[in-house]
Amino acid sequence: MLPVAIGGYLLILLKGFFILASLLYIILSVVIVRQVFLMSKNVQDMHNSIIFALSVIHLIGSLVLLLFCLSLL
Amino acid sequence: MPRSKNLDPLISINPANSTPVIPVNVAPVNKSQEGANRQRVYDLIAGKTKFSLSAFIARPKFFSFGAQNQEEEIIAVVRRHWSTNVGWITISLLMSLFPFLLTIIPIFTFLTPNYRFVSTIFWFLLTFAFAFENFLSWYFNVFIITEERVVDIDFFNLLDTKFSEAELNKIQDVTYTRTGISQTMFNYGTLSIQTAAETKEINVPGAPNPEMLAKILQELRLEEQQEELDGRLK
Repeated sequence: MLPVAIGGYLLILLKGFFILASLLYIILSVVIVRQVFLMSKNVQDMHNSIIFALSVIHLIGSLVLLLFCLSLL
Repeated sequence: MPRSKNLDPLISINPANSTPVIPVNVAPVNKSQEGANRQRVYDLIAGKTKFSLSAFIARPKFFSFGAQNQEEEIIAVVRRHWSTNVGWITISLLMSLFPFLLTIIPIFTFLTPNYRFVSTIFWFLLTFAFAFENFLSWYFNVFIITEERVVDIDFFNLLDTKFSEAELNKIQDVTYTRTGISQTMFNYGTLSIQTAAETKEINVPGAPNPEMLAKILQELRLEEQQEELDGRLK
């Protein structure tokens, strides 16, 4: 078991790490949405709308993750 | 330069003024030749699927690409063979099972339940992103054969894309390689197209049935040459 003080600092550090990671993850999600949008213009197929919807859902998921990081941790 | 043997019987010399006289029935003969080449292409791809999530789509109804001309018929759309996806699918499945493994072997007990919950969500999102990025690399990485040209759209990763094309009459050489157990078993390989266009070489790795693709390109090139002879180059 970690001493209470060290454990507290570690959790704060961990919270900072999670928030930073989720912010970077949002950037990645935006890049995915943008790339799918651009590629859908180049290659038009019947499943493009589903793929675009999946990329947007993924972006929403990453936003929810940041919300959880800010509220739960 | 010696004239093509195919043209010799079609042109006769008028003895009065020594000018070549082209018989009126030349066009139908060439048209039938052109039609025969196209029919052989259709015969080659007969029975191939039109399902848009397959590796080889023959004459797709709901597929187009950005630089496509009006009335330009797409003969085939080729993606990497499905067996090339086995690796990332397996890794994605193992990654998605990892949090359940942690419930059996609890090694992160020092974390509070909230941290564990957020970590699990983060892990599942990462797993989804990994699988999705690999799927996009497969889905948008297409090689298209139309009646006019070949188009290669490469989607290497999220940040690198490449578009290259070559007209059929610029194609100089088509080769394919099929190496290893997997490629021999599932009949896929790398198709290499040498061109006289700006893009000197187009490589299509993981192309399903490369032998058939080479034959399709050969027939289409013959058709294009026939069109050039007819003076009906589009």
